[in-house]
Amino acid sequence: MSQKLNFYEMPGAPERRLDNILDLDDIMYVENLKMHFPVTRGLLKREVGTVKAVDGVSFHIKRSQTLGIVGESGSGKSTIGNCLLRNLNITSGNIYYEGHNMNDLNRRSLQKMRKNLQMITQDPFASLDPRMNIMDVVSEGLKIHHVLDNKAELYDFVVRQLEMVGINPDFRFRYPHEFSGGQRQRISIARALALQPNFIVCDEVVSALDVSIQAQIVNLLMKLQENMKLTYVFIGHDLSVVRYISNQVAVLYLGKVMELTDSDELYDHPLHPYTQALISAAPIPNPVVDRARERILLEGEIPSPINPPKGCNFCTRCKYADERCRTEEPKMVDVGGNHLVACHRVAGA
Amino acid sequence: MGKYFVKRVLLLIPTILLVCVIVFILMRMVPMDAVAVLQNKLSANGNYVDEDYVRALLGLDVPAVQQFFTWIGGVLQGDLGTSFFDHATVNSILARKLPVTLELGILSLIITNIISIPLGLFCAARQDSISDYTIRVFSTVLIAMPVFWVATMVLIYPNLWWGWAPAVSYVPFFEDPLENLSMFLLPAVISAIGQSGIQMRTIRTMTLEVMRQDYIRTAWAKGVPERQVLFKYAFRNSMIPIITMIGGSVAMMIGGNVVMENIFNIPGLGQALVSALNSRDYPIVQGCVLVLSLFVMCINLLVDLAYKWIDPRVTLD
Amino acid sequence: MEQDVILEVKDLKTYFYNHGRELRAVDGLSYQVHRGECVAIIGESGSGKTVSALSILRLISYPPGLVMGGQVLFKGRDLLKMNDEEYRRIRGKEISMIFQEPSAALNPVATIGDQIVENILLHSNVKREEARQRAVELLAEVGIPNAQERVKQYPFEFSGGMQQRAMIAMAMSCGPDVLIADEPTTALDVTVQAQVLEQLNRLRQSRNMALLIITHNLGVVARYADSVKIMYGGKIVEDGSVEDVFLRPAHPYTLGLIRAVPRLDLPRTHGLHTIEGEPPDMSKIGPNCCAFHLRCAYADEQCQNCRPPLEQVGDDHFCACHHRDLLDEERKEVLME
Repeated sequence: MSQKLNFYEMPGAPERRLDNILDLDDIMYVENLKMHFPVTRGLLKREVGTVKAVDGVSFHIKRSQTLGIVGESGSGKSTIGNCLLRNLNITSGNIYYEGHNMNDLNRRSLQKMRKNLQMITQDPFASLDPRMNIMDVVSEGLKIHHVLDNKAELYDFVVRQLEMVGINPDFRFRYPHEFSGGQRQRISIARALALQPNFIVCDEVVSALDVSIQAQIVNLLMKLQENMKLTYVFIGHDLSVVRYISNQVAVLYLGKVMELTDSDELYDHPLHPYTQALISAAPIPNPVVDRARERILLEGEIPSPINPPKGCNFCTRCKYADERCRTEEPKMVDVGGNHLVACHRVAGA
Repeated sequence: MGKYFVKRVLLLIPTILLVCVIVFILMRMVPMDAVAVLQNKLSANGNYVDEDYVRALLGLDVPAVQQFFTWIGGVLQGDLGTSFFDHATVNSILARKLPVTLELGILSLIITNIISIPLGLFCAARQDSISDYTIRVFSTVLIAMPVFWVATMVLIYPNLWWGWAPAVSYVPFFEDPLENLSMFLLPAVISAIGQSGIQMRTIRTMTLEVMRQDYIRTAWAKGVPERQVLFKYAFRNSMIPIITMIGGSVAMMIGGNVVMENIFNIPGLGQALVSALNSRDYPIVQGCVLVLSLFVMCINLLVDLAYKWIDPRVTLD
Repeated sequence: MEQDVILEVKDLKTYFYNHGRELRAVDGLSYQVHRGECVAIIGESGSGKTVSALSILRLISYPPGLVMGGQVLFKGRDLLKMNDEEYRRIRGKEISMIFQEPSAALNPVATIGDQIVENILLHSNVKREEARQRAVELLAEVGIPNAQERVKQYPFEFSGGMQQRAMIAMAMSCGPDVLIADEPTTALDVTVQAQVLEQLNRLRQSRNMALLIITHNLGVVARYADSVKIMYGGKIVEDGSVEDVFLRPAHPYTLGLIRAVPRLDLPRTHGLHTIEGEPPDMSKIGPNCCAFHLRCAYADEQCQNCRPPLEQVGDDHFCACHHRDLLDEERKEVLME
């Protein structure tokens, strides 16, 4: 670990390290993360159930790499992103960042640590205050954390930051609504990077963009990752894009990871029936290739996370599901070569 | 639905009790009690009464808390007490005056809606046309004119020019509907004017908002004729905010018609309330406020039930 | 072949007027749709693809939009010249449309059944009971389980995929000859997207209905489309069979679009091919230039001063570009992939 981590110098940072169980290449380790939301009714907020948005998810994220999380709506993928940044108080489980259990951090050190963890979301409209010009937008975090108080330095910094994401710095006094969707996404990237974070959650960042703009943003994110040694968690519903940008991909279904492996391996040897269906459903812009592919059409829709099925979460839509799948939850097993899958049908499981 | 209704009705009880307490306390806190006011009035003619004797007579000599429980005890048994000066029970006064007030209120409500709904929809359908502008300008003028001022003008000028004056003696509806309506129509129209201006503009705005929705485009794409798009789609979907507004205006009209009742000399609750307030006739004031607030609460309940009827997405629990 | 043409758009122009500025959203659009054919119109935001579809259905309202010229011939009759009542009878019966956001496109306060029944009753003389029965059959046909019960439910009780199926059932209820689907699956989950597309395609084949899919997603149409039209800046820049357009693209924009999509079936490369710049602001681009010239690597003076005409480059393959010959190198690269 050659990189100097100002995190250890923080007052109140706990002493406990986990070097013995942690691969030092890992920037983050998530262990059995659960995020349940109570469903309440009536005047007295009587609890009538829980939404198990995230229900026991574990993974490692390697430094300067990208973990892709792909899932449909209701799979809990955005919830995971918010848990990693501690925007939500997790129900149970552990998140280790740079070897420190985030559960053990006090409020102040958590606050300091947040500088290193940033998020970019789908809708730059919503995340940008319409009354702030983009100079203010980009420098806001710096002012809050008192990183740069000097006006001239701040100014230089914003200009550099905007140039880095491909926005003409002459536009710095314009307002968010004067920019197109792709430009706004560039601005929100500039803002997220202003505090020099090393870990970024990208939540559906290219979903709302046109194809040609989507490619520009994906390239920009990858270039920045290389230059700044960033670690990404890239959340999306489009398997093609997620696989393209990620080193590893976790396939999420109803709050649980179904399959987790290297992105090329995922396409070449998908083991979970859900992954196979996702790949089959993802369109390929080549009529010859696309028409020749085997088409797996899933029946039905993703069940409600309030009432997930017993046994395997996917059993209601899986054509292979048998009695065991409906009663016993499959465990996550490593079938070799860092390929994790949770399915009874896979040998070794 | 039934369970919800029962729950809401049960919730009315504590609310009503709270209203009782507040009205009772506020009335007692007004400077000069009923006897002092009476004394004041009499002294103008050089007369006087034995205050302690009258207080004892009216039951005002015991502590306020005791008075309150005596009153509440009566209320719970359906007896709102007896007027201090009228020698009539509050129940009988209410029985006489409430129908008058309700008739005026309901009449002006009907007129408000007859004016505002078609005009609002028309303006929305012909947005930015000349008729839309004209109607909107006209409605602004109506909103800007104070109701009592219009009423007074209506009383003065026709009389001056043609010697015509509205009927002033109240005839119950079932005795002579025509005579009755001829008395009520004018005040009802006048109190409806301002309200329908506001309501028309809201209906127009809400309908325009709905007209921009995707399902309106679907309706056109299905080949639905314009009139149906307007009524079946746009109006129905803009009903929720409109119903809320109508609910509010009912409450306002009952209160606002006090002025109308006084100007047109209509023997309604408003008139009774004002004179009772002046003479500190506590039982009448308390009774009137209680009944009016109960009425407003029932309207609110009806509005909430109407939501469910209009919008299937609303869940009542 | 000619008499098989069911819908023909000729030189359609739809302009918008905002604060005195003219925006040529659709500027001289022409294409043909044959009976039973699946036509895809592909374009990015601002290309005018949705406006062109709404113009066909005369759903552009003034202000701010106005159909300025052109013809839309449906079975030989010009839709744009019909009076409102005449056209109302065609909408929802012979031409129907489904939209991008099914949750917003269905009337929230009417049951699914009533909305389908309404469409049937508007265009045919059947009894309400009969129409109701027909609605149940239609819902079952588009793959909604337990249709007998679900016909009584409201849109909010349906999931997104089910809502879109209900929209399809409604659009199909009078057996249209042309179904226009504007981004029919964009709001849906990937697996549901596949179901809905498969459903649409099955219906098209079983009823010999023309399907006009408008989308920004190239992949969606590769499997189903017969013919593909690429729109840019309110015009068609390339028009051809799906094989021609995807495998032998003639226009630099088409080529760029195809290469900008990450391919699931190919090994990951480093860096996607991109089209630089932003979609054009149509109120700022003059009529006498190629709308793509600001983003095009091959653009020169000719592209700034002369709007390239749509020229034939193969059998039923058309392209509007001055420099399509320069593309050969790049095209070879694509074919290698």
